[in-house]
This record gives sequence, C-alpha cells and structure tokens, in this order.
Amino acid sequence: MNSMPRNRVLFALIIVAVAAGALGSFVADAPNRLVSGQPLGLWQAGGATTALPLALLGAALLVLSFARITRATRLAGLGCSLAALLLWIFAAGSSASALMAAAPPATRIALGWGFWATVFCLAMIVLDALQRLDAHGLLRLSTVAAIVAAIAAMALAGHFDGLSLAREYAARRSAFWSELERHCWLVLAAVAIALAIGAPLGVFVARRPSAGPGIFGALNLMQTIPSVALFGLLIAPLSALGVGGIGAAPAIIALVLYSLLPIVRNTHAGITGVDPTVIDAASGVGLTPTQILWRVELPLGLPVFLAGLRIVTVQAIGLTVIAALIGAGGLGSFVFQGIGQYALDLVLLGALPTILLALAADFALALIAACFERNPAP
Amino acid sequence: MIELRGVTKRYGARASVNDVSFAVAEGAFCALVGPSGSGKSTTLRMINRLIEPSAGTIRLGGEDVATIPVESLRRRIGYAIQSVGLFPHWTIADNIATVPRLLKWPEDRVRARIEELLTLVRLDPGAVRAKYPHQLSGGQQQRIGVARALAADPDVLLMDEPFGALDPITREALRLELARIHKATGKTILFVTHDVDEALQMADAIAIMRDGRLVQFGTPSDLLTKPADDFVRDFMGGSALGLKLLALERVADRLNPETVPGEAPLALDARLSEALSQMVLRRADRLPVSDDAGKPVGSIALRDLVARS
Repeated sequence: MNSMPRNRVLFALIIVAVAAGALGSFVADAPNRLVSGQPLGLWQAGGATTALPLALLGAALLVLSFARITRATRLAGLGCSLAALLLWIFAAGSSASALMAAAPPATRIALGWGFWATVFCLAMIVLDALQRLDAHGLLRLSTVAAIVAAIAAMALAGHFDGLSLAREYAARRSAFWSELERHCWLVLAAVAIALAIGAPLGVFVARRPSAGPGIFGALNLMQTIPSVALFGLLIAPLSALGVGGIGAAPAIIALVLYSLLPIVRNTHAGITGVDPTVIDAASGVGLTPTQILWRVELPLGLPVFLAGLRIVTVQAIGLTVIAALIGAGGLGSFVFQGIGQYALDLVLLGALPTILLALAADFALALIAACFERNPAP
Repeated sequence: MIELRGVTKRYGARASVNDVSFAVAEGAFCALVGPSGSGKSTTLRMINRLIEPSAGTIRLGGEDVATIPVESLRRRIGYAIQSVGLFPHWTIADNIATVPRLLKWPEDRVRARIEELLTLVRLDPGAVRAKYPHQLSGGQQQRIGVARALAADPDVLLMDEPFGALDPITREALRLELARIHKATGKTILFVTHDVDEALQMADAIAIMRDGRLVQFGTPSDLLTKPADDFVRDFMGGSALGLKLLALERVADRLNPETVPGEAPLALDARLSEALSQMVLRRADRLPVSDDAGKPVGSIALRDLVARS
C-alpha cells in the first residue's frame, strides 16, 4: 500500500461517486407529477440493506485505487464497479417500489441528481477499466451486452415500475415505441440520403481539387446555421414547393444538410490520404481510374470514411430531437411536451432513449470500424 | 524494341525532357542515368503514358504507343518503382495477380503464375503468398514489386530506381537477382538510376541525361573511354574512370595460361578491378586463377590489366 493513489482516475471517480451517492438525493418523493419532490438520500430511501453492500463496494474500489496496477487489480476494479453499478440501479427500483407501496397513487418517485452523478461515475470507472484491459474488443462487447441485458431484465420484470419515469412510459407505451421507430427511420433516411449525395461529392472533390473551396465553403456555412433556425427557414420554401413545410420532409432535408459536411470531408480525406505511390503503381500496371477508385482508393480510405459516418449518425440521432419542433415526430416530441408541461420525467422519457440510441450507434459503428482496422493496414 | 524519336515534355515554358531520341534493342538492358531533375523518370513515364509527351513519338515493337489504348498498353509493360507501391490491403498473391486478373486469365493459370514468379524472385511461395505487404522486409517487398511487374509476361520492363530505397547489401543482392532474371527471361529492360556503378554493373547500354537532354548513348565502355564531354566524364567517375573500366571486364577475358603457385586463387568470373585490388593488398604483380572446381587454370598479371584488349 502506498500513501498516494496509484490509479488516480479510479480514485477521483470513486470519491465523487461515494460523495454524490451518500450525500446527494437518491430519489425525490413528490405528491404528483408536476411539483418537484422531497429529496431522499440512499439511507432514507433504501435503508441499510442496500446502503451497506454499496458502501463496501465503494470502500473496495477506494482500496484498489491505491493498489499496484496489474491486470488482476484492473479486473477486480472492473468486477467491483460493475457490481456497484448494477446494485445501484437495482436499489433505485426497489426503493421506488417500497416508497410507492405506502403512498397515494398520484405520488411520483423520481431519480435524484445524486443517483445520476453516481451512475455516471460508476459507468466511467467501468469504461476506463474496459479500455485499459482490453486488447481485442470482445471483453468490452460482452461487458456492455451484460449490463444492457441485466438492466433490460430488471425493467421487463417490472422492477422499475415504481419510478416516475416508468410511469410516464406506462401512460404512453404505444406512443413511445412508435415515436422511437419514427426517430430511427428519420435518422436512417437522412443518413442514407446524405451518403448517397455526400460520398460521390467527396469523390468528385478528391478528383477535382479546384471545386473543393466552393463546395466545402457552402457545406461549412450550412453547418453554422443553428438547427432550430434551419428547420424554421425551410418551412417557407418547402410550402411554396408544395412539399409541406412541416413534418418529415423538412426534417430529413435539414438533417441531410447537416450530415453532408462530415461525409464529404471524410470521403475526400480518405481518398486523398491514400499513399500516392500506390496510386502511381496502380495506374502504371494498367488499372483504369474507375478500378483504382473501387479497388484501391475506397477500400484504403474506408476507415476515415467510417469515422465520418459515425459522426454523422450520432449527430443525426441528437438533431432529430429538435425536428419534433416542426412536427416530424420522434423522441423529441416527448422532450418538448415535457418542457411544455414542466414534467421533467417526460423530458427524460425522450432524452434517455436518444442518448442510449446515440451510444449504441456509436458503439456499433466503432466496432465495424475496428473490424476493418484490424485488417492489415499500411 | 523501344524507340524514342524527338520526345519532348514541356511544363509551361520549361522543357523537362527536350528532344530525346534513342532506341533500346530487343532483349537489351538499358540504364537511363543522370543527376536528379535531369528528366530520366519523366522520359520513362512517357513510355507507358503515365505522362503524355508534348512532342515526338515513342514506338514499342514498331507500334506508336499513342495509338494503343492506355490501359492495354500498360498491361503489356511491366512497371516497378522505388517505393514499390504494393497494394497494402491485398495479399502478396493478390498483388502479383493484379495484371493477370485484369487480363482475365483463368484462375488456375493465375495461381500457377504466382508460384512461378515467387520462385523466380526466390521467395518461398508457401511462406509469403498469404501475407500482406507490411509483413515483409523492404527487400522482400521489392522482390514482390518485380514479380508483379513480370506477372503478365510483358516483353518490356520499366523500372524507376527500383532499388534506391534499400540498404547496400540488399541492393547488391537484388541487382544480381535482376541480372539473373534478365538473362533467364530475355526481357527488354529500361532502368532509371542515378547510381553510375549500378548502371555499369547491369546495363549493356547506357543513356546519360542532363537538364532534359540526352547527352550520350552507348555501351558502358564507350561512355568510359569516349565520353562526349566533361559532364559525362565527371558523372561516369572522373579520376576513377580507369578503375570503372576494369570493373567491366572479368579475369577470364585477360587470362594468361601460365599457372603460378599461390594461396587463394582468383575466380574466372572475378572482375579485373577485384584482381587489381587483390594485387595491391597482397603486394603481388601476378596472381593464380582457378576455375569453379578449384583447379588452377592460369594466372593474371598487372601488365595483363593495362594491356589493350
């Protein structure tokens, strides 16, 4: 044991997690969904049976942050933080159910800031441990899958039914799934169209560098328009065209416009980044320009291109929330309804799945990119 | 076989290749030498039309290259460059098979050709076939580059300083390999280099360029004994011209049948420059010579080296 923490990242995160978990509000107890609730700590809400094991896990992680950093201590840290994270989330569900059992039906048990802060810190500890342990991505993939499966199993078993978030969901179950589906469709349509336009445009700019400043200038300008303004600006010209200024069409157009710059830029960067001597050899042995594009430039530029696709997809998932403002639907409709009613749980019902969707898309595309990177690179 | 007539390449007002004419005979090994920026690479790249000439004609086997569709022209010409330019995302086998596949050879013929070429460049097909370029050393990559250039059995091979980026020992090994391959295949080779010794060692014709112009074209001994001007003399080696001349001939060419006793006899295919070097080292004016089997076959004396051949 040393007098200084050896794993400073773990040390800092666990101090914040313990402080927020012990002192912050674990849940908030409100008489109805529109007023803010009475904050309750973990001790008050869950009692000693949940607080004690969590305190022990916190202490174990604190000790581990002083231990010598080896693969074994990293694995131990991963195990402890994983257990703490799942137990913490589990405790939120059981405390809410316990509080609801003795309260009138209009009562709302919302998750407090202390809960979220601790979830964030514990998740960071898990991710940090995974990143440092990981050589092959398999451990990361299986751990994330296990966390998702455990939380999903708790949710399906009705463990979180006492929480206000679940009650907002219960009241809008069918609307939630159709808006989620709509959200995904809007994103997919926008990204697909942006790819269909942006990838050829990127190839064109790579072939004709003189066109670069003009095209990049226009796309950059597009990127600087605030999203709310762009959605609004599209209403008038589209109604004049008869497409309809509100709904899915303007939303997809705006999303495409925002997605073009990263796609064009990364396609261009991917192609121009290919070693010029490889291109010289390719044309020297008699490949046609089209063959060079498909067999050499695009495969070699693929990692950069995929990075662009990843940026665009995550960005589009977030921007689609704003599209609800012009009647395009999607998860943003819950966010704006919630803001209108000052019902924060409703805002969360829209925001949380958006965040999870973005994380999932980012994760999946990173995984695909890693598969290509693992293939021999220069 | 390769014939350049009045070939010129202008970039704006500047001519980087200016009215160059020479011909490389079928099966010859011609080196194109000159200092950096003399236009030798540009000249080479006009033959497979990676650069289009501003004026003049280039004929390949009597056919004007400007009339041949550019991709089919290039598939008939092997091309190897200093940076090798192997496709990093393809295996060694796929790299070598590039041109045969473009020419739509049947797959079993392609596979047989890959084996044949890997054996020709002295790499173990089983060991390297499935590897990727970055898994090989620089010298091995250049061997693959040569194999890829030879893949579709072109009559002509263009090489742009193919060994320039390698260490001296690997370079020497590859020079010997290329000389062997040239002898075995009878290809016409045009080889760009700025290394005069490389040119003297390998070529049977040398074209020397300066500032875009062809200064002299001839056999190695022509260039050493009858340099067209001071530039050629200096470029070919200045005060060391005599030594370079000795490096062109072998002991067998000046062999004296009289045998003499002595240790460590010279080989018949040793160069005269090596014989001189040994004489200086051993402080002897006559050294024994033996054949491959070690049987004494004669001797060579200092005065044999300076005698007119």
